[in-house]
Amino acid sequence: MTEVALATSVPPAMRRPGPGGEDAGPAWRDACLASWPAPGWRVLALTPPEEAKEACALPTLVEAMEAAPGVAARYGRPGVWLADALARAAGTGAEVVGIVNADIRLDLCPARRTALAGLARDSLVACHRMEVAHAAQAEGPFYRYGFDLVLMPAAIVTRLDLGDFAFGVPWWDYWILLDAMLEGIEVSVVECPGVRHLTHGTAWRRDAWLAALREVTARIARRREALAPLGLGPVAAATGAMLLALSDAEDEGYGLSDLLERAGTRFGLEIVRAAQRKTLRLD
Amino acid sequence: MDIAAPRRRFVHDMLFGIDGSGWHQPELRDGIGFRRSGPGRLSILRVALPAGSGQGEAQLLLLPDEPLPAPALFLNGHALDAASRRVGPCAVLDFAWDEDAMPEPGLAEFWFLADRMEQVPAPGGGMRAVGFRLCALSLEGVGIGPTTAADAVARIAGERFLREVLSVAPGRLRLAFRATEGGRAIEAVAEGARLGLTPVPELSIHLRTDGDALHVRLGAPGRAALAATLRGAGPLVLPSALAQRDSLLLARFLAALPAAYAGWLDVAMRGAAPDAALLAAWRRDLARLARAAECALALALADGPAIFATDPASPFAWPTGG
Repeated sequence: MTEVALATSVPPAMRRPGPGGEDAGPAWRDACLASWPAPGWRVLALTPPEEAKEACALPTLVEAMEAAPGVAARYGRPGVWLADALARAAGTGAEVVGIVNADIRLDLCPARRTALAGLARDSLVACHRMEVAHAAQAEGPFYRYGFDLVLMPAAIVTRLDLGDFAFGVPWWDYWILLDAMLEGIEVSVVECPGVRHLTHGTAWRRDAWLAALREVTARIARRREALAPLGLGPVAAATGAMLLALSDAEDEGYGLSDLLERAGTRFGLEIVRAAQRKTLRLD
Repeated sequence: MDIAAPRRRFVHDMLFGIDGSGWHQPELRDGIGFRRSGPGRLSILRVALPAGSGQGEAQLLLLPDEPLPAPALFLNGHALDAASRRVGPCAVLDFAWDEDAMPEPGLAEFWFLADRMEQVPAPGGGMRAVGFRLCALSLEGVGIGPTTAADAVARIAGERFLREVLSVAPGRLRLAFRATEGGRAIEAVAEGARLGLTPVPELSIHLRTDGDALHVRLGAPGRAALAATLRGAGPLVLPSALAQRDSLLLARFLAALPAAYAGWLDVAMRGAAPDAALLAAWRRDLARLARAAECALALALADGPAIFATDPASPFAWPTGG
């Protein structure tokens, strides 16, 4: 019986700096792929149509699926819509569904998996990743400003407004938390050493970041009244208002573009802070 | 099948606003937020915490090849044993505390005493003294923490009563530490102190330890000194010359001294290289005094003559003296 259905998007190639300058990416990707399935945990790997011919080989317990098109046209590179991924996961009939970034290795014993699934039956669970410099590193710091494994009750998937957010595009992890909070869904942040990420340099693309921020801003504009009861605080209110004011004025004059970027960064951090009100440690 | 038990954590990220002192502006480097301690060696963080024992982690950002920082840690004046270890680009200080350090829920005051300081260029020019870089403080109380607010109405009523009928302000302290024969002492002056609605300009506060006894003497120009004594775990002995309402005001004032001491620390520790053990000893003594004062207050309110009809505007009747 499928208890948890995880959806992900696996890129055709993964490069990570390894010892002595070697590329540790392929081995890390294989380790990640092998780490996801477990008894009761079903894994769906969605591949964008543009990458179908070069898709990497998957372990037998990871099910390949072709993703809905459109991400490349929207963000300039192939990808998988989150709504598509979660809908496929929910379609398995699992009680709990989730999404995991492709470069996350899950070192989860059955007890950890049971605990995570238990939490996600009642709330949206967002896990920080633990950064490691090499595959054998036992302990590392958690990256506190992002979430790489998100689990939730399958029943709430249709309540989330995830259109236009995609794997690999910034903001999806912040938005999914804020959207859940706006919907009155309880959110928990989990620090679990079993959610591991091999450290690499950031591949931040400003245009994609701003495009995704515009999606967030558009949604905030529609639900401004729902923000206040969340008690995010005056800084969140001010930066949120600034995002709304600048969303169409970014190119109007000196400094506005930088201001938009700074307000967006801070607003994102405020979402993280709000979510961290309920933080759990899972050893 | 075994189920791992998730534990509740209270995460205080230094990137955001903090209650405390001895920290520079927040910085964000390579996705890690932090504040540098400084310019003094003592840095203070006040955070809400449930009563009882607990454990925590302080995450510190390191530079490449930087030796592990080993700041001394205190909670509410109680020294904590902290074990430092390197975790990737960070250092983690693991520590724990017992019930004595956190006897009741409320604001917990963590002190960090930097083991080394350095001068580095400051943003905007000049130099500044900095210590370690604190990213976050993660705390786990062993107790279950605050429960439902079933007594909310009583608490609201009680807070209002204390605020309106037994209002005090400890003011801003200036204080000096003294060594005495067989003990230690604080000589302090409070500016802007108030007992009830009665302002007490130039209120002098003398605190002296003698074995397990703590002696308190409050003085004002032209007035007789008010003396109170706390011996060991015994009750606080308040001056008998005061009217009942004024005795309660004095107890309220003594209970507010830890907060005034904290306010003094925030100002006085800027750029200082303090004797943390001495500061901590007084922090514990003041907490002990405050608990005893609140106990005296509670006993009087529970069983003493009713003071609910007292006129809050009536002045504090300070005994006259030379």
